[in-house]
Amino acid sequence: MDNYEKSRVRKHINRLAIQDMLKDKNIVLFGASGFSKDVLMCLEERGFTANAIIDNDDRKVGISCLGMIVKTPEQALMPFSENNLIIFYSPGFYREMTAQLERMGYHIDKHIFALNFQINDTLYMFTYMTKTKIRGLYWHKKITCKHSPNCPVFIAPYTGTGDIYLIGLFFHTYLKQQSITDYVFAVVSNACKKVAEMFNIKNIYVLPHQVGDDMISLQRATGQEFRIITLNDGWLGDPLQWFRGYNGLNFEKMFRYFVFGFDDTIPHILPPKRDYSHEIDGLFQQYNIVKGKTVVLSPYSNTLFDLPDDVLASIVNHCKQQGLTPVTNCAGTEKPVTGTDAVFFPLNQAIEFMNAAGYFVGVRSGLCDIISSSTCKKIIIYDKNGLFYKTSHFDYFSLKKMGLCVDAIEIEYSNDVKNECLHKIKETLK
Amino acid sequence: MLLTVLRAFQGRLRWIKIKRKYNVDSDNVYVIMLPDSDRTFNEIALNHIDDFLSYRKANKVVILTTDEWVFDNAHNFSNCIKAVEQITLRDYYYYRNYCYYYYYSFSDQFIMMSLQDLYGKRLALAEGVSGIEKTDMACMALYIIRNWSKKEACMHG
Repeated sequence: MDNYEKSRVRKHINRLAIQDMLKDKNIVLFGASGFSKDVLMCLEERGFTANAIIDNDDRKVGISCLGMIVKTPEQALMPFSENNLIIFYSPGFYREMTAQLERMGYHIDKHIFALNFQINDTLYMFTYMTKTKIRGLYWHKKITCKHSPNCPVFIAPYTGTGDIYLIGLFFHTYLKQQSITDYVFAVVSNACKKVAEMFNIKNIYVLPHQVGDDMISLQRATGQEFRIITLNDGWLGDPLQWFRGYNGLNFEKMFRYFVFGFDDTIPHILPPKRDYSHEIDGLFQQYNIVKGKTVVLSPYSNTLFDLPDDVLASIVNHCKQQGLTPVTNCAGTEKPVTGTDAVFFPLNQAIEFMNAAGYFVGVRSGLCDIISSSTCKKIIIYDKNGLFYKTSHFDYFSLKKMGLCVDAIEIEYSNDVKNECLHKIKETLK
Repeated sequence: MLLTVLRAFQGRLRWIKIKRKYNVDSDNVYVIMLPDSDRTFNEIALNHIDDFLSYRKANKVVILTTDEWVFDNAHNFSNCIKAVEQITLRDYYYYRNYCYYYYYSFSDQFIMMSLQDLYGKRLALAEGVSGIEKTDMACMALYIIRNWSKKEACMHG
């Protein structure tokens, strides 16, 4: 969820709280996903919490999620109770979920609250969508006006920096193959822009919220009148998304085959090496850390998965015992792990920073893609119970399986294998 | 751009008309568009209508098609087909424009079963990749039967 959407969810929950609709209710989150994590956070800000979490995916039923055991909708919501209040955020599937709950006797705006933007076939929605087309048209003209006529516009619509890194590995080969000399590259955050710059991608524009979707939708609606290329493996209802994880189709393969149309022979082109030695020296001095003896912890990600505090504490203590200095990579309002100081380094300097630091221990996130070519010792932790479409998080996002990295230690973590995981981590941090 | 808006609006008008004619909302009916001329794919789509209805817990489908073979033969594939309407290419383009006018589909109850147009063309690239067949494309990606399994489908004939 980006900040705009989080703000929308927050407003919606605030409204429900003000109207006293949440008080004394059995609040149920529908969907064991990262979206539910954000919804729960907004609820907790208002002093409420969820009592149950449900999901239709039977692979998720019975596992722990956000401190609750995932149940089926029937288990949590039947027999019908007036006291049940089901909240969810699901732009693509809210209608299906709503219909399912209505069949169980629950009513929209009384028991069922879908917090996402809701598309329907009303005249109001048609008018709204027409406005978004005009907005898309305006922005298309704005970002292409200084370029050749019909120059392609590449849009990376997702805020994930890992996506941009993967795109970067193939981008210049694609340009060469398509004989493209002039182009515009649109992203949706400054962090994404920084990653794109690592690959010498030019003409980068950071689009305001939703404008990327407007332009993609414009291209679809006008039957390719505009040369807009979506750099994603399944965006805005693209049916290809349902093959994610199917028969070994991982993150890298989805981009390789379906975004760029490449076969397996096309190599990755890594970002060119740059000399940031002066900047890195400055950062090490600023944070008072030692090259080769610094462990960068990266415990935050956009997924559900968080390492328990006691595991982090154990890693921190071990580092100190080994004469290593643990620090936490923090951006924005993120707080450092207890016993460590916060560090921040620009994404375009991440590889060089990690080369100098020596060690990386992190939950799988876009930063892991970015530093995958670093010489530091990398320990990447995946949620053993994490699922992504047709497969596990690990199988879809493994750096090794994607061919991004041969030397990372990749660990699937769950509480029942905590000790083995800790042992493996500590063996590497010596 | 203006043409796109007008075509999409025409598509909307046709959708509202079909919705009312077949009580799509109240009778839990799905409208399936079969615009392709690929008989193999159309047969697959028709063959799996019952799987689709079972997964979505729906009652009936209405089929809209530009293809004569589909129009003549659809009823042979399922007892749950409420109606089959043959539409003109122009009408198809109106529906198509409406279908792709929004960020997501304007309705869960409208399914575009095509490998020859827009998203379908991109989806068609998946054939042969990692063992993906047309049946997978129809059932997993277009009907979105999330627990779809080729083996189970074969067992149930």
